[in-house]
Amino acid sequence: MGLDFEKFAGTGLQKAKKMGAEQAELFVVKSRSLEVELKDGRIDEIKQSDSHGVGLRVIKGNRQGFSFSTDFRASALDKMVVQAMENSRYHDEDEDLYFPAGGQVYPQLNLYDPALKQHSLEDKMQLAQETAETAKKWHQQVSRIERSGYEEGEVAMWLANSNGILQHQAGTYCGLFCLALGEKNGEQQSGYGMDSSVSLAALSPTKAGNMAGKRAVQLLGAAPVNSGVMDLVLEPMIAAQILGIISACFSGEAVRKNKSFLADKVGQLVAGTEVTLIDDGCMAQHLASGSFDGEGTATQRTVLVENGMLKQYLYDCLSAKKAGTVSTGNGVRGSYKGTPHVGTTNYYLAAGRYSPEQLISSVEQGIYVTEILGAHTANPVSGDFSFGASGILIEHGALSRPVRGVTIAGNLQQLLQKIHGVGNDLTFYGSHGAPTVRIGQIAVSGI
Amino acid sequence: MQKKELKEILNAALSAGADFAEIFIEQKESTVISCEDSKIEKINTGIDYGMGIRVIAGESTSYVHSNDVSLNNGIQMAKLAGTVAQEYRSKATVQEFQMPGASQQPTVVQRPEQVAFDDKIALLKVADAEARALNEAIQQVSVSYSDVTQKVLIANSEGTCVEDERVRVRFACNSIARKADQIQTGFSSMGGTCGFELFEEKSAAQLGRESAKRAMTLLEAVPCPTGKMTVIIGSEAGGTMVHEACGHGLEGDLVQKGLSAYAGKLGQQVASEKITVVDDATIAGKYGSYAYDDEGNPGEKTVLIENGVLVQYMNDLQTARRTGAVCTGNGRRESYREKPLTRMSNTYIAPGNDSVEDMIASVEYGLYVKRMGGGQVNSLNGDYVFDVAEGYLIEHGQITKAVRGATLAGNGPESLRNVEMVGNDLGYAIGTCGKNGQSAPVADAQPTLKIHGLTVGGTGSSQ
Repeated sequence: MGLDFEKFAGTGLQKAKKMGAEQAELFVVKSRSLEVELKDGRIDEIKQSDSHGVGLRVIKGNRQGFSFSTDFRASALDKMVVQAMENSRYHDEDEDLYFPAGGQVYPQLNLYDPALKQHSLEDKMQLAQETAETAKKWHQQVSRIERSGYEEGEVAMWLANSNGILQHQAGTYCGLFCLALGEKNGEQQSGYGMDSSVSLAALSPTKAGNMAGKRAVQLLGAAPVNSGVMDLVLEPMIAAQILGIISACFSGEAVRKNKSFLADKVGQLVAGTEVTLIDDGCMAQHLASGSFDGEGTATQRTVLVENGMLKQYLYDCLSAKKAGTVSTGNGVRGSYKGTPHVGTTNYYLAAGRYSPEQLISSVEQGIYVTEILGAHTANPVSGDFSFGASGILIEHGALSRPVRGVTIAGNLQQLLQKIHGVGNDLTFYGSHGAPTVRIGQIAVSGI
Repeated sequence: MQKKELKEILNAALSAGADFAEIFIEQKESTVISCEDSKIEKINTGIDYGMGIRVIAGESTSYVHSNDVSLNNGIQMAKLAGTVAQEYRSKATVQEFQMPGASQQPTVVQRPEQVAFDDKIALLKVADAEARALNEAIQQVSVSYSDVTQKVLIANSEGTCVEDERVRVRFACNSIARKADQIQTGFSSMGGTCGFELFEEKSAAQLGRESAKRAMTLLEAVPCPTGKMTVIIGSEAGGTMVHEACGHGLEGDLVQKGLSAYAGKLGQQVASEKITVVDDATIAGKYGSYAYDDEGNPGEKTVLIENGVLVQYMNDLQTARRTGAVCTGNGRRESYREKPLTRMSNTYIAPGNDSVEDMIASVEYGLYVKRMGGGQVNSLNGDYVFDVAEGYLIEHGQITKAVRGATLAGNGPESLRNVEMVGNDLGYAIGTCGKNGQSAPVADAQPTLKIHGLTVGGTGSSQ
């Protein structure tokens, strides 16, 4: 699709105005992707795609209208405008609706790696193969590699609105993944390993392979523990997963709609004093970075919680106006097929000062949690959670035997307060990051 | 696209020497309306149109998709997908097209596009108002309506050529109740492979009230006690249990990859004799029903476990071909962007002979699960958890107080062996099943079940 976006946007915005839109916005996404999965060194699956589309938002009489299309011809554009205007009639009025103004200062970010295009498929398969070999070598109990793979994508975005915004950005991502199986005395466990980055050179088959190998064998021979209340040490991946559920509570929209347990708590201690949570849409070389958000607002670094104290919520234009503040650049938009909503970008728990070993050694009796099951069943509104958990028992400050078949339960609101001990090993898993975390006194249900 | 053009694309896909080629063209028209804060906040209507081409050469699969559905692009895509067969020299050719007969065609009584937009919006407003009217503690209500009309054209080199249309309607309501520092949510949803007749069974108002009632019940609930106990799962709870505890483990792809706790157990007793498990895409109107799956095979009724004996796995074209087993019409995909996977349709445990009253009366101390939330399974070892959305304690054979924050954790094969009683009722619930990043509409059902030795997770004291 060769697209002169400036011209396309000019025509589209003008058409919308002519049809009666007071404000209009066009959002174009063009992407391609490649994913290859190997089994025993040969291609098991290869998947390639290209996609393009455009979304149109209009505001008329305090009502928003939206439509999308994958067709860029003038006739299709006409139809889109008609549809979006028609659509707006059925929305309820909201006088706080607006699109942001031009003239913003945008962060300068380089999120595009040309190396993706320069390297051959064979080179990329080689990385996936190295990942598999690394995982296999981790331990003799790694019985086989179910699959290993490489994936990449390129996304280009354009956004223009009738208030003077005209922005473009392009980015790349790539990743390695591996599923290893471990076996001991007829019992099997699986271990998933991954690494992802904006640039090819930063991908590490060693990191992804070791992660898969380690996870495939570390739980072999696991058994439940007795029920009780105990301390937990969460692996960075688990900490990032759980903090990810809590991220919904920072949404200014959720707060306004009574859907967040963090409502009305700015300035209060909502977490252990070692907790600093950050959302940063303009981190160099990070997957959820961009110079502008899904509405064209410049991205920024926002400290949500600092030393346990709630500082700030996240906003898009609408939720910001309703709260009497300005957008934090968190109007995220996954695709041209939808409208923006408040969401996180790169969201992480800042590194603390303890090594993971120090955190483990500080626990008399507890579990080092390496896997949770059912994370999506936690309720971010009430904060109630109950996960299936596996990991390694901690006895007298040392890791002893693997554990499975237990549940850990509590309330996320209290869990934040119970974080006592934050590791120095901040690791990102996609757009969420966390270091090892120690949590005091959680209900564990076993036998 | 014309048949001649489809053949041209399939020929291009086979030209490098592949065994099998397939075209999947999809046009999905959808309307999503959401109401929150008593306001219609989002209306999203649109058409997603695209094409996916799959080529198989030996054990290698190649998939290419695009939203440019033209003959020229199709041939280019086919050639790109076909390169996977470079060192593979099959002599497969494109066979004459035939449309296999389906055992059922879904009948849509009132097509969603023929319903006025104002009428759709009125449904959301009614549900919102009814939920809020139930109690002043209800502080927020989110209602969502969606309808999807998906037209697919599937053609493969083995001669299958199928055109199919699936119409689905879904309606859901989430109420939030607050009292002091307690916030609880109550969720209720319904959906079907059908049109607006969905609202005949249960009205939007009823659904709204139901979700608000659930939120209120939880507000009064006490933290759930923890530990191993006997659990009765009511039929109203739907079938998350059968879905997680055994459904995924019976999917042919996971079985063949050695990633299922049920692999290698065909013909063996894997559950209590009282347990019969069926996957059935042919039930009229259910959320997981279809006339044809996404590979163009007729949807079927398949008995998976009969009186506790594992008799059949679910299979798609590829898993059936690999083992010489029959294809059970379980090849499904989220959209043209994905290759098909072995997936469930409507999965249920068949009703038994026990009366529900007797079942509850037989429990001295345990948990009654009235409604289940989401769940997850580690299919390799069969460990699963699921969320109890509405649960009550059973004390001395009677249902007593409501509990909140409970989870059931267990092991699929073990739980099915530990089923002591099977009720003579059957209740359905709808769900969106996730697998390898693809979601699919499904329905699950079960009779009331009594299972011993399940781990109940919660924050209350242990018993």
